[in-house]
Amino acid sequence: MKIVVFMTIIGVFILAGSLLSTVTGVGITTGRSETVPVSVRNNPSSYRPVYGTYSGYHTPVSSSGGYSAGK
Amino acid sequence: MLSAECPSCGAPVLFQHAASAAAVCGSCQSTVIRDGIDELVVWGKVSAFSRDLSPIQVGASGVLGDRPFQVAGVLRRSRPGVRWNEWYIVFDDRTTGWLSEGNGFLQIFGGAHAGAVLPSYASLHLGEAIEIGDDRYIVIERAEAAVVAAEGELPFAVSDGLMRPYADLRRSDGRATGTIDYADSPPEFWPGRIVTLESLKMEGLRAFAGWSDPTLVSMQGPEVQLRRGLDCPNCGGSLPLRAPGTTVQLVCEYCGSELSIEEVGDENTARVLRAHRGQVWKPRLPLGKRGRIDDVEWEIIGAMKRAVRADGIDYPWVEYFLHNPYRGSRFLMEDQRGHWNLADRLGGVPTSQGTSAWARQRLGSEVYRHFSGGKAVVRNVLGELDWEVKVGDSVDTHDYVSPPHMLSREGDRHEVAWSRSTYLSKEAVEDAFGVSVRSPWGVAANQPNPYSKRSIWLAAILSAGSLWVGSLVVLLLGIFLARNETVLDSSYTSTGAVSDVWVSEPFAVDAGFRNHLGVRSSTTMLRSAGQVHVALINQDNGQVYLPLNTTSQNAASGSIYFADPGAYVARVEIARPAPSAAQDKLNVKIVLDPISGFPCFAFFFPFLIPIVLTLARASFESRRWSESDHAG
Repeated sequence: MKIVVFMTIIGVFILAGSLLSTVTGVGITTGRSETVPVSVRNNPSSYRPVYGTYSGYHTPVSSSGGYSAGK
Repeated sequence: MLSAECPSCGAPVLFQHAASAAAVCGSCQSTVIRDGIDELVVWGKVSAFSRDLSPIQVGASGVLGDRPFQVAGVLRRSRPGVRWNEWYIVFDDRTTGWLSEGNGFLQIFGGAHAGAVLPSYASLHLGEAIEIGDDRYIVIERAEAAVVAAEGELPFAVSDGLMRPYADLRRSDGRATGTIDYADSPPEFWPGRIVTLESLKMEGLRAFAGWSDPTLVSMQGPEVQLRRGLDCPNCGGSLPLRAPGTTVQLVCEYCGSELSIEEVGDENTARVLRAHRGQVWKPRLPLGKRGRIDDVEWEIIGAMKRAVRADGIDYPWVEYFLHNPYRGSRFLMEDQRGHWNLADRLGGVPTSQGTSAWARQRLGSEVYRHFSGGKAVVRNVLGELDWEVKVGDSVDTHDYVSPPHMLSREGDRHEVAWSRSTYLSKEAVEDAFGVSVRSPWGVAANQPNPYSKRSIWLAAILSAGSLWVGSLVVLLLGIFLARNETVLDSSYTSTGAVSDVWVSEPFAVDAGFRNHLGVRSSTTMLRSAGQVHVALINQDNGQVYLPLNTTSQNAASGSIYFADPGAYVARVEIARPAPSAAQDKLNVKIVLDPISGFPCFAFFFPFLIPIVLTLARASFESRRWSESDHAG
């Protein structure tokens, strides 16, 4: 019976999490963010992302900051 | 009724039943037979019937079906190591029968079956099936026994010592029995059946000091003190005899010597079978301890340790011999891993579903699977037992399981005995005897699978069902609550350059509670050929969100929660290590306040509960059978 109780408790937690997620619309964040200067805002195509979190091919980034490459 | 003087001593001898042909003089123990209407003739002498733990006595009465009867006399018969009582009963219609009391059973025999074709004594083999009339019996005992004591009236004259061959039979229903008496020619077949004192509505039973049985309210006479004492002839230790009359062997609690208990009238004497000096084996539960199991009180009067040896390893267990004067005997067994069983000698013989010892056995509606077999050897003995046993004795055993029950077959050259055990939890033993016992480990052969219980499956289905319904409600609620508004759905075609960059049309994210953005991209470009990057740039405050995680070869998705309100554009890029001729397609879709996918997990989780339970049940069975002869 312990196993059923244990799994039921887990299930209740998941259900509660689901309900919270449904009501607030919040889930697991998968992205990240940074702030760019006005020049980049005005010329979005000049933005250069930081590719550190990506796997596979990275385009060359010369500076330490993402947007700085587009300054 | 006939009352006459004993020709031997002159004491009065009473014949209450016309069906009785002989009687034992209570004064001189002469067996006298009727000669004419009121004359008695001395036939021989027989030993006095000493009081044992039987609640039955001459004068007691009962009812078999609708036939009242009275107990008129008794014979005690014996073969080496075993004793039992045969009570002579006379029905109101003057027919006679026997109530046999021994080996933990009460059997009633209403009369000999005339005309049956019976096998010869020499042709009988233990365990074989024989047909008598339309019925099929199994031979469970084939031996010779002698009358060793008698009391009251009898249907024939007896004297001490004459060995008479007999065979005991059982049918598979657990109730019908039979015995063939080979003393006379031709032999006689007595069909019988197993009964209880309650089913016979016995009255006038003996009352034993310290024992009561609420189901048997009619007890006559002063309370009988059961306990007697005797001195160990080996060490001189003072020993209590808890079951006089029943006990055939006693192992001294002080020196461990094996003593044979003899009866002389109402006195007991001990004879050393095997002297022992040194450390005495002490079982976990002490002798004399009483416990109540299933509302019946039992006293531990003896114990023995036995073991089956396999691959050079001893697998021992302890058997406690329990006694209740009104209920007979039981065995409480503890195996080496702390699992307990309560065993009862089996009235019937199971029906084998094959010819080998490994074949399944059917008893009633239950089918038992063979678990293990071997030679069980006695390692230690202590206290009183109702049969003679010594260290080193062995029997061939086979165990068959149908949890929580186990059938055990034990056989030697005289007898095949079946018993049925029921698994007892540690808590049941502790509650019964008021002691603390060790916690069991591993899985016992007949331990009930906790994952097979109807209640646990009912709970699992209820739990899974409730969670599933709950998750369904949450899922529907999510669909209802989410705005799920597409703010960008654009397609692009790459030029094949090292970097293709597009900037989308602006879209707005208003201030609100659920301003979340779900981003999904899909492309025809192989992942190894380059990467897709999406940046959501808030043109009002400069905040940039990088939402994407690659989830498959050609697609990526991600979410931004609580995005700052404002006017956004999406900067979309395909980046390659080198120019390509391929003109890959790319689609980017951004949804404001998308439907949360998290409840989907809650939706599928309940299905895990029965799956996990099924796996746990299989694992338990696997551990059980890994200990059997059929492992691997």
